Amino acid sequence: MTVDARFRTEVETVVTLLDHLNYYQLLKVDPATHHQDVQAAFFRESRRFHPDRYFGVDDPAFKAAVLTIYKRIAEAYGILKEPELRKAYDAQIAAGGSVRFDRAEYEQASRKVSGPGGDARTSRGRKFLLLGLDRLRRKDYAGAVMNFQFAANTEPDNDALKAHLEKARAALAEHTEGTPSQGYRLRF
Amino acid sequence: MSRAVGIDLGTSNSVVAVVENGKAQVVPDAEGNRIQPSVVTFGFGNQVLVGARAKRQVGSHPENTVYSAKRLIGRKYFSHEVTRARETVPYQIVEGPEHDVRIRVHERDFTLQEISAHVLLKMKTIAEEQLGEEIDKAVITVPAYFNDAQRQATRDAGIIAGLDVLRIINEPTAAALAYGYQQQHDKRLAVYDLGGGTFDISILQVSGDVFEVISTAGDTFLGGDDIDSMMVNYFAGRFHSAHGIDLRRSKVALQKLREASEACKKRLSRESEVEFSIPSIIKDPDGKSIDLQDSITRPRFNEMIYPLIQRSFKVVDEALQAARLTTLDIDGIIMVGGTTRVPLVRESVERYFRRQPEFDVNPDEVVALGAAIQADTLANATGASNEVGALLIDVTPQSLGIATAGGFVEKLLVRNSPIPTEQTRTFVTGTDNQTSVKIAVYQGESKLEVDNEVLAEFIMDGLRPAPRGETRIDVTFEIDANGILQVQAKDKETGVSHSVKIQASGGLSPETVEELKFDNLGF
Repeated sequence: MTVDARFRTEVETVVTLLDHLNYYQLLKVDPATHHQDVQAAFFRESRRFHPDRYFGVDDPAFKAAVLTIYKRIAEAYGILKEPELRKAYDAQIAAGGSVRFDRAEYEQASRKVSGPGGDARTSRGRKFLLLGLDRLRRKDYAGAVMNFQFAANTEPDNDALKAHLEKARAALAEHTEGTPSQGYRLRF
Repeated sequence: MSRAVGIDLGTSNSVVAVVENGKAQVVPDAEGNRIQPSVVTFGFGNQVLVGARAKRQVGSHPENTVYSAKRLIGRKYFSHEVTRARETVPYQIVEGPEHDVRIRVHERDFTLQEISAHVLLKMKTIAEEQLGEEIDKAVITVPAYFNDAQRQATRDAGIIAGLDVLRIINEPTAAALAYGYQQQHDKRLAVYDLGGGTFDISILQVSGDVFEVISTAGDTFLGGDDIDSMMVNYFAGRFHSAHGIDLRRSKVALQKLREASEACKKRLSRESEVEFSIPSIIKDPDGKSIDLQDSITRPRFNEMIYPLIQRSFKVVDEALQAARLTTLDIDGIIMVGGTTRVPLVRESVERYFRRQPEFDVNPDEVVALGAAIQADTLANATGASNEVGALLIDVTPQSLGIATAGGFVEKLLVRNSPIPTEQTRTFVTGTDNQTSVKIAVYQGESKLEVDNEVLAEFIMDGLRPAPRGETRIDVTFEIDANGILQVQAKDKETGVSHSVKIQASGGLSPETVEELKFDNLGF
């Protein structure tokens, strides 16, 4: 059994074009695609390009090319799956910048706080984010929704905070379905 | 076609497994034992005992018997872990040529790679005897939080044992693979792995045949051994109050107490109170033997270990946070490692996740089974499009960077990046007419050099003298699928490059590994 000839041609082509393909082109997804489809695309391309698929193939040049491509595919996924990084990347390519994105440099430049609360950029946003996460841990979904809403209001353009809010809302809906109202109402 | 095995090289015990007729199975030894103690005893001459027979020597030949080598492998002599081990283990730990660790037995110094190689050789031999064929290919597992030096040292141990190490994979990832293989459903799994010496948590997305690690976090100073130490201190304290003698001052007494504590811990998983005695554990100043007699209840035991268990959930918080998930997003929990048999651990995990862990997983065997599946997949990967098999996509557990002026570390790769991966950054010289640069590679999360762990340092020279800031050097970090780092530095002007297989300081050179191979030494 050997590697399919058409795939070989594809590998040879992609490796020469690598520095011209942006992450969307590499993962073969539309730039407007939902982030869940990014994961599906990554899995699809991983099934084809992951070097482990060709572990026993006795062709060093082909294997080196596959590895080069796959490293870039993994990098693309690492950026596009994170809403904030994806946004910064979109801005970079829209401005005609590099097709690659240096995550470590970006995060150090924006002095991102790591650990819990790292999704927030302001101290006020972080405070409510941490409160919301704490409520979530105690299964107080209504309280979590409220705090995430405050955090999101503080940083209106922060998608990561919106994601927390959406998730808490979904959890709240799931856990209130079929159970009578506890009289705990939220006003927004 | 030759078969490849999976080996779980544990702190306390090791397991070997193989895929037979499409199913992963543990390979037991001739006596039917499915797990082997990771213990090595050196007799006189070339005689080496490994496994259960070696473990029986701990009491009678404590200074020749090496256990828990995994806690020391790839570490520096002055590290916290090694300092602590020197106070507790009966065998002699000495400093090697590059601040590395050696074990001195019968006036001969052994590297930790050699000690672990003896355990790996034992597993290889068991597989060969039971399967009736020569085995030379293996996948070996390591804790997800193992750093570059520890991974390299483990791989070198495999090479010394005469194995072609197909891949080093992470223990939680292996466990998820064994659990989810051929299940064909999409699930988000949390693997809670509390072993003899280390704690790992990994969050995975399983999608058919693809196993993607979303995030991982760990603590390499948290495990069953720490529970044993707490019990030893508890019992020794009580003995001290009663008899005025500190058992911790005698290595032999300490060893006996440690064994009794471990047995006590295991019994407490089933019984609510345990009584035990150690006859003539020590002699009083008059030369009279004293027995140790004591007991402990499960509530007292739980109270004692509670803070330790809680520490693991701080790490779980961190992993969930990095994955942008909450406990509600987890569809299944896999418990790995012997310490998860402790009832308080199971209860705490259940309470934290609000979900029962999967019950049909054997915490001692699941890692080896996953390693066997990965070994089989790799050994049979020929690139044909209709091939089935699992695809593991892991991440780098810690950030990697290089030291810059002022004692700071500039990161090149952040943790939880999917691997294999690479990143290049351009650096400039800091002083006028600088003709060489020192490149120091660090692993860790802090911005400060002192808070991170140095992996390696190398000098790049022959730069053209120029005003500062003018000479530009491209530094490229590449992490392969084993999680092992390679660094390349390139002078942009001259094109002169320095490719360095990062040999962790204290690590072994390929030549040394070759020399140490058992095949060349007649084991």
